[in-house]
Amino acid sequence: MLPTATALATQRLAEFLAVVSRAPDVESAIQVATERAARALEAEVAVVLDAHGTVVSSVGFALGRVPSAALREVVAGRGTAVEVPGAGPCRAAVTQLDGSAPGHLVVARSGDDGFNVDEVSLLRGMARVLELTVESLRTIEAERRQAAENARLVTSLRERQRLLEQLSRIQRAITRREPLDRILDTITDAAQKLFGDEAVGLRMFDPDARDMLVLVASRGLPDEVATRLWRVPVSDRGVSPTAVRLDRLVVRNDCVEDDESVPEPIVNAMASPVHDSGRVVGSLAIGSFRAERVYGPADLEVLRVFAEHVSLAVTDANTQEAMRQAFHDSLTGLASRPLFLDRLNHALARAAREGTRLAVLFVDLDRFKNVNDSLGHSAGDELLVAVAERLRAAVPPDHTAGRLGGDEFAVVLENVTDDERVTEIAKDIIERLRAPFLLSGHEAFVDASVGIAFNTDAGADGQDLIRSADLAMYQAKKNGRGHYEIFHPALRARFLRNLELEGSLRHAVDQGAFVLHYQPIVELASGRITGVEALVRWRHAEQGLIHPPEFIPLAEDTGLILPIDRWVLGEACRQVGEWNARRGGDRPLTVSVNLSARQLQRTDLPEFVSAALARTALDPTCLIIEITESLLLHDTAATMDRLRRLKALGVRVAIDDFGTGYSSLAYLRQFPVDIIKIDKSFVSGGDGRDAWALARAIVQLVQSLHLSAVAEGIETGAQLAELRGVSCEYGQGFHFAEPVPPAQLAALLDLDPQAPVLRSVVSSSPL
Amino acid sequence: MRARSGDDAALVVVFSCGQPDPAAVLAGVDEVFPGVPLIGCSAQSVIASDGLDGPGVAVTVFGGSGFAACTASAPAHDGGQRAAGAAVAECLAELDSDAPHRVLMLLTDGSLGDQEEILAGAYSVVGASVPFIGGTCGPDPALGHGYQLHGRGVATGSVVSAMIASDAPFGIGLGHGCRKVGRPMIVTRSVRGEIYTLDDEPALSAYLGRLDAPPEVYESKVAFDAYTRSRPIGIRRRNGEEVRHVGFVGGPDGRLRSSGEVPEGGLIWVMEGDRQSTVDAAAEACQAALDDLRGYRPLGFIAFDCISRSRMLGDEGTRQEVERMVKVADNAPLAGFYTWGEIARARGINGYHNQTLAVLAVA
Repeated sequence: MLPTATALATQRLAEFLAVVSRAPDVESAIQVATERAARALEAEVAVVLDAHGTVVSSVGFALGRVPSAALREVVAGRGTAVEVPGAGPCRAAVTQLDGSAPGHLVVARSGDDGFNVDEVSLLRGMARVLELTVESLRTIEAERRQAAENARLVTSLRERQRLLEQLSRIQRAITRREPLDRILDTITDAAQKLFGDEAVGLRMFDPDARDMLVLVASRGLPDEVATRLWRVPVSDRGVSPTAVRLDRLVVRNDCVEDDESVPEPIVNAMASPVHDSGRVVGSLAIGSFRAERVYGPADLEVLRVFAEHVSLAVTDANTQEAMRQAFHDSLTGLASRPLFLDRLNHALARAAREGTRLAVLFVDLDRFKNVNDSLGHSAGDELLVAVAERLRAAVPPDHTAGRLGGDEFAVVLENVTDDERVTEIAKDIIERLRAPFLLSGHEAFVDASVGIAFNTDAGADGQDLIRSADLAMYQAKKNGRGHYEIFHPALRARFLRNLELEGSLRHAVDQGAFVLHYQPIVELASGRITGVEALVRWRHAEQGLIHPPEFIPLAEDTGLILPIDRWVLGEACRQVGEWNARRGGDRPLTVSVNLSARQLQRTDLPEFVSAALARTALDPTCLIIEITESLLLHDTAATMDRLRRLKALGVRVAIDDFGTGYSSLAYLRQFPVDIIKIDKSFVSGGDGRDAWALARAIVQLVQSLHLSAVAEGIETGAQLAELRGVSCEYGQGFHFAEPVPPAQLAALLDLDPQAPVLRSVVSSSPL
Repeated sequence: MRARSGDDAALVVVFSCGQPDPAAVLAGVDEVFPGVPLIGCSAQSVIASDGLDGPGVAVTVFGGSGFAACTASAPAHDGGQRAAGAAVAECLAELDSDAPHRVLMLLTDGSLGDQEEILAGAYSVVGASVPFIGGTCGPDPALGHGYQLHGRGVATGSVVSAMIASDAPFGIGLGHGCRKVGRPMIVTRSVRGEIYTLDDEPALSAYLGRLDAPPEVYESKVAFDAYTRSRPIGIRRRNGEEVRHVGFVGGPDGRLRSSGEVPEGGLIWVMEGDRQSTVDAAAEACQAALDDLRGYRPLGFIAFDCISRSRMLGDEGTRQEVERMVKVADNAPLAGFYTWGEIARARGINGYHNQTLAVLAVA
């Protein structure tokens, strides 16, 4: 990558410093600086004028033809350009020279573009270097005149060399695009090495609160002090905020604070403002614990030069971007997880010190995945941005909202005096997020679940507190969407139980402690069993049979779902193959298998199914893989390919729970599906006319597409009659049979394979 | 350029190669252009539009009522480069002409170090008011050393200049045909043209490492020269990269040498060119010079072409390069020589180049 203009500016300043600091006397230093300023900025002319407007040094004008009057106009701010013979009108930039040789440094360049802010910063940096050099040379000249203290001459030269070395380190860190934290560390480390003092701190404006300054890097400060002083108001009387407020270099000797809590108080300190495009954005402070370390003019000059360089470093476009990214979630602009945690930890330290209460709200969206799956990731992103906006509106000013990742958000509320106020805010968040979102022309509804944890009940550090709020959120979600829950220690116990459950589940997978139950699928016209749906149960040693909703989510979370799926498919194929072998000339049974969403999205799904068929010798046409509607909306090209490959095996595909998701007629035509399973809500809730009308419409639609329809959840004879009335082909439900263990189903089949199925032949519990 | 002979010649520019007696060359010129101001220099090879490309003498004459010129020379030994540059630029004051356009042609001895100081000296006198063009001369193969010609005298270790005034514009074009290789490197230690470290590594290994050079290039000057001829370094400037050829120094510190300054703390790229891009750059430089005439008809072109470009191109490539320039010149005469360094400053303050072709178009 090509370095930015700013990175270029930083190297030019180092180059300038290297050359100017070699000058043997003041006059040649000014001459060299003039010429080098023109070279570095590729300007045609450069001029140094003294405080009276007299030209001290110039380059770029033919001898004796320096337009002093025009230059004085530029210095006075009454002109912006200078006519340069041979180059035409040249845009000028000017910077003040302070110190013992006050005046101005002016550069002018042909072309229409003028000097950008980085170049003006560079010019300012050069002026500081020139001041420093002139100062050093004057000192040296005075010392020479006295023919004494040659050792100090050497020291002074070494000082300049050291400054150059430290500036070069920073420049290298920027040019090499090192990570932000390393660049900031390099700056503070370089400052510490340069001054040899105990403490260094670089503060920048808090991006979310311009009246606060955040310590972005420091050296030599005890952890406790760095934590306590991590964020201070700009109005604070310390040297750093003062330098920012006054936008000038500040020095305080003997500024010891009467603070016995600090083991080694800073006695003397100085700070210089750091700029971005001419605006103050922070400050760099140097401090010493030693009373004898008094900051004199030479120290201030070096700090001034160094801070100019830091300005170039922190305003480098990449550094800025890295800083923004480090602190803010790039999508929503909310505090990122690290920043949120940092703020939370500081808030906790403050709360502990001041004996106050704070709360963390963990906000999780309930249907984010649906939106992402059905409307695509860009709509998902739109949703997150909109959620962040609503969250901002719900959180009072001065409190922090952050995005922890994915669809998880968090809020920290400080100085809580009334717990009800916290729950009101939680309710407000839930209400605001309940209102529909308009995403790419679609209305989408999401709910939010909120977990609340107070510092007094839940853990000592930020991470603990977030974890506790997360647990409370998890509990809120279990209680139903759109609720909040407050953390209490019992939740943690429950969580631990879940952990135990996970352990048991792993054990169960190892031990093969699962069984399949089968629910018959009946041809409605004849009442004959034509197939079965295989449903998995976990046979727990203590808790008995556990149904899928209680362990499948955990299995999906832990990845245990894959071996479970493998077993389910293999066992279902084996069992039904065996039954079919015993049925002689009767029509073979089909078996419908539900695989997990995770399994269905695997690209090797067809190979997975093919391997199971090969192991069990089941006729592939007897196998039906049930998929959900949302899968069809996810990565359609890949899904289409997967389904085609499945079909090529001879396997059939059914869409489960049709009508509950983003049902689309288009995908019924587009995707190679064979069977539509009508959701039980159309059947069991179908006492109303509308529901039946919908069920009828779905059946007709399925027929017109030459597909098969299976009605789910048939519980009454009336429902069966209605479905027969609309010529629905197949059905399943308690009216015929609950899911039963294989032996009972075998008995049922053996009883009278040709007879209509009796209702509730067994009494296992429903799903 | 309008005068092949006769009274209206204002300036004669001579590039001379393979001449054991330069004074005799001057005597010959004087027979045709008696008393006409003259500058010139030795060359390892000269360029001319009639196909001459090698030993020979290329003579360019500026003449006609629209031209005026004055010339100067100054010794530049022993650290006197800046003073010499300033001295030869002072001839500006002697130029008696109201013609609005001016250019300062500088011819310098390649055996001198710190060539940029010569330019800085000249700039300190004339400033931005006059563009610079010219070149640094190498040794004449017939003598084994370089020389400069001024008036009817021959000098060494000096700078000669001609301040030329014209009623039509001058055009300056530059081209090198190299592209950047990889990421930039920081010049972490250098003193003028001596590059000690790049990215804190010895410069030789950093530079060759970036190019993934074969092992023999690290050891042998001959192999190094052959390999690096088409692989200069580029210093980042506002208007692009300023190209520098790097030379092998040898010894334990692993440094590199460039004939121009490579500023400490600066950024450089390793550059790479090939025959085609080098030849194309010649045409582009001529075209840029032509475009700079702002519609005036060109009377002639003078090319200052880096010798390392010619070495990289070989005989056939060099012939193609001259052909491409002649084609752009479109019947206008072309003369020039193969230089050790090129001078061209039209904007800004920097003007010393390397491994580059600098072209002056005269209208």
